[in-house]
Amino acid sequence: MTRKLRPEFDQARKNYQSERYAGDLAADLGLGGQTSFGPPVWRRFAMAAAVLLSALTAWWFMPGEPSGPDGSVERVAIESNPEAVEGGLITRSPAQASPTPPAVGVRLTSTPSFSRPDDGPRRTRFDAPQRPRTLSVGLTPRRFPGLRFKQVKSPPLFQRNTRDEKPNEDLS
Amino acid sequence: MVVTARDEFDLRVIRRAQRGHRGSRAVLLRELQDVWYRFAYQMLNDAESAREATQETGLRFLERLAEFRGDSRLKTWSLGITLNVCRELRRRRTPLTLADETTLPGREEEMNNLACQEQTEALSRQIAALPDRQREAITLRYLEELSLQDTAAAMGCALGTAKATVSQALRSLRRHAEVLKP
Repeated sequence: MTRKLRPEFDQARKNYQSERYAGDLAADLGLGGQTSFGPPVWRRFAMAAAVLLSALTAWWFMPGEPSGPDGSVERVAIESNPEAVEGGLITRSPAQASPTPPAVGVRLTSTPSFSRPDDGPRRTRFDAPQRPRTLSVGLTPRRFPGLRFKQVKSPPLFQRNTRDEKPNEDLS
Repeated sequence: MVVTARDEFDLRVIRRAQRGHRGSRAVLLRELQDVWYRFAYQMLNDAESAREATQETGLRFLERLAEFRGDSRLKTWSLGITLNVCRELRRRRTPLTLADETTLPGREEEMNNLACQEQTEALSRQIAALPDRQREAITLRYLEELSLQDTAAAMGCALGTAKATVSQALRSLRRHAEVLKP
């Protein structure tokens, strides 16, 4: 049906589509100077601060070198020319024996100490107690702190059952 | 929020504009302002009224942008807003006089063929003289080059209604063209 009108329609369409809004509608409606690309300055600043904070946090929680009490770093290393040390003969049953029993060890340049400086000499269970334990009535071991043992009082002498005591029978 | 990929606009821009991003909203307004203006100009035959309609369309577009679900193209959906604005403006205005040369849009472009220019102007006059609904349908379908489905969506009517309206308008234009034919 539009065949007869096609050339006129084409020209009318060109004219129609050549119409332009004079000016910037976004600016007329108060949205001027805005583009869809690029975040505002405050957002960029917030992103930079977040990145810096996360980097600082990661650095803070990073594990460091182990250090001694005076801050010096003790290094345990294998001697340059290790000497063979007799390890002794380990007797095991044939079933437990490993195919390659360790017979050769290495000598360390220094013996690492794993005790903290404020510990003092290490105590063993065979050492005498530092403070003699006093045993008193009602003192219960505190292995189970939540458990209270009932104290059983011994009855007075006159209430004791003496039925089983044999009287001093004078058989004479 | 469902936005289909068949829109000619960047989906990210539409989504950001729906979330209230001012820059994205400005981009959409700049892309659509000419579409709204020329349609309003065709409907109202007055540059100042078309400008007013375009600005009103922009305001309503921003208000209702969050409701856009992507059932149609953004351009079609926004042209529906423009159409409603133009209808309201037409109702408020004094009854339109039939378009003549003084109320038609000025065509400044040079034309090589005077006969073609005359025929085009005659067609423009005929389109301007059509009833409102037919003029809307013809403009959307043949000047804005929307599909029939999009024309129906912009006009807010069923597809069959849009088809019938376009057919009536074409019949009327053809009748006028035959009458004008020497």
